[in-house]
Amino acid sequence: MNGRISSLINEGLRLVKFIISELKPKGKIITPFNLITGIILIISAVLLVIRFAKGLGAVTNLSQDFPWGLWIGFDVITGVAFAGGAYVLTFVVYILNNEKYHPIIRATVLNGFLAYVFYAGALLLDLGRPWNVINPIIGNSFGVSSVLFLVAWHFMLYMIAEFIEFSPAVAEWLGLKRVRKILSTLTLGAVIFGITLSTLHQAGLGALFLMAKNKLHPLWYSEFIPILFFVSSIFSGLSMVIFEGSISHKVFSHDLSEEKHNEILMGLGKGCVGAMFAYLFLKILVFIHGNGWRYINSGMGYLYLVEVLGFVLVPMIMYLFAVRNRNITLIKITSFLTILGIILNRLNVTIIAFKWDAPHRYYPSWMEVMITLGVISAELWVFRWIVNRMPVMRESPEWVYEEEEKERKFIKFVRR
Amino acid sequence: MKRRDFIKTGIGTGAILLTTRKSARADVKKEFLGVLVDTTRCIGCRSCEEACATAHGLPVPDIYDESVFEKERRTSETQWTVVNRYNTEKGTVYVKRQCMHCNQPACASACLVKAMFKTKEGPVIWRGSKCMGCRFCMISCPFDIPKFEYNSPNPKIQKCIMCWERIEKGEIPACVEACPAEALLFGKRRELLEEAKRRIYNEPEKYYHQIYGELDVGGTGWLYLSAVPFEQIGFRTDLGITPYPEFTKGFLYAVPVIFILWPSILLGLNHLTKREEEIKMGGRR
Repeated sequence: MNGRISSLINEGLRLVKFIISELKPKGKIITPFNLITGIILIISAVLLVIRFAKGLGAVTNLSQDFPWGLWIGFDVITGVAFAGGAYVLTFVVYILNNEKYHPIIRATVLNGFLAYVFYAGALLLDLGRPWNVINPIIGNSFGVSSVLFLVAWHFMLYMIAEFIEFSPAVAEWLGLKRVRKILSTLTLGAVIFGITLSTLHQAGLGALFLMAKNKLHPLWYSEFIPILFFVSSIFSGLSMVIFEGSISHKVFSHDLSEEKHNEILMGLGKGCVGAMFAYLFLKILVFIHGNGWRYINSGMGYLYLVEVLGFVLVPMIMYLFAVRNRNITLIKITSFLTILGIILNRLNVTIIAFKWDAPHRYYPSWMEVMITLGVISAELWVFRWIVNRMPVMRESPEWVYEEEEKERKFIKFVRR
Repeated sequence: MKRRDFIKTGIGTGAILLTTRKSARADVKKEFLGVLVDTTRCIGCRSCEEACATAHGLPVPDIYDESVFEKERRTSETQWTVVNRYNTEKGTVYVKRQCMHCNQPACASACLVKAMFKTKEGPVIWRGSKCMGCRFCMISCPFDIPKFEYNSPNPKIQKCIMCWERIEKGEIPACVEACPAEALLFGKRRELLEEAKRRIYNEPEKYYHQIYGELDVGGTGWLYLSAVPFEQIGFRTDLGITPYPEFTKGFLYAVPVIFILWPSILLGLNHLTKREEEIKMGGRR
């Protein structure tokens, strides 16, 4: 018994020492990237102090007409759409048991998890009375008729689900064999729960605007907003995986060969074509159903055409060409175009087509933009810290395979 | 006692018992309170603005300053009610605006902590101890009524609460009490509707034949009478008669459905595809 306790203590000491040694930065400290993001982070921190000391009006251009601006429209609503790749890929890998995409699953889940922590977390900066944020959680006041109640709970639960999905990588980094084994048995459950949550809150972000019926331009308002948001989150997430993957494949040391990685991106592009086709079809349906022709010959109408034709139809055709001609550069360019289209769509719904006829329009202040950049910088720093330490893009340590081999033999033995 | 009389008394007592039970039940189910605004009577004195500000500790406006009528004003974080002047086909009309206290308020159904709250008596109130300042009520309100204090580290949502604290004490709203022209009438919504219809019926030439708030967005606590069509005096008449919470109902009903269907379908798909894998690999992957 004593031996067990002392070995546990030893193990604990080892972990603490290990984590402290890992906290130190790796590589050069002064790089252009670090300098720029570092300055952004310092300015953002100062601005946030002002924001919490003096109120939202001190740093934002929000008004009584535009209660939601860049932080909600871009950070939260667009950021979460970009994080959609995690639930789509976990579906492919863990539900459909498709091994092809397994090498990029950890990076994608990590990206998704951090996106929720930082971008959905940016919601806290926007809350006027953030000290009451625990109210919908501790149950002294459940507004169950609220779409936002659902979205808030789902954000929280999904963060937990994604952390569980990623946790085996943490255990591998710390060298905890038993813990890893237990955590990896939770993966399938977390994936199923996570996909269900994602379906609902991706749609839910659109459903937030269902009651803005008399404020949102009729070309964007429809009772199908939730479904449109959900379907677009599929190709939005996949395009983000392509875009982000093609950058981090170069920046970080990746164990995956260039060819295999390209093969994966090609497959993701194919997936985008399918989701974009479904989305376009729904868009046309909604357009005809809502008699959209009435509004098309106006400024907002042209904006609508730019969004739907220029940033959905065109990239869909480009993806199709790229996949048929196996043009990997075109796939990467198209993913960027698709991402721009998603930004345009989400900002249209939340800001541009919202009270499009108001006499005083909302434009974000430079401080709102700066804090948004600060949130992105902080996320990139944490992402880099984790990728450089845990087996995200590198193979898992040798012992993981040994353990898995042992388990496989054991199962074979039991079955016989 | 004759048999017939016995039956008679029996039925009579029964009837009394039943009716008392019925009226007792009607007492339990409170009717919504509201205010009827007769814009044909309003003289634009803005006494209501002054009384409102005084009652709620807001900056008291100078009600003799005529210049405020030069442009259409909206309620703000320091003014829960404002009176506007309109030039219409039937001359100058003054219109008091404030929260409409909807029967089914969008703001209250939007609120994830029930800080915006429709009381049983009808007033829609704001509870600061619950509110987290997300401003979803402002996105949802069809009348753009909730106002947020952007320049405060401890911001509040500001809007008319129909003098809830006074109603609880048995008093009437401050603005109604202050009105010298009897343009405002406080009472049960059902009775106010009857009164409004009576006025239209008695003077059909004088009134435009519609009560704003009777059906709009599912009915509102504040009801308006006018001599001219409501578009001419700053009202939105394109809001429809569907209560706003209905717009999110379809989505919210889909939630439990997805929660049952998705996990079972996903688990099924997982097993379906795994078996093939097993055959290929001769065991678990």
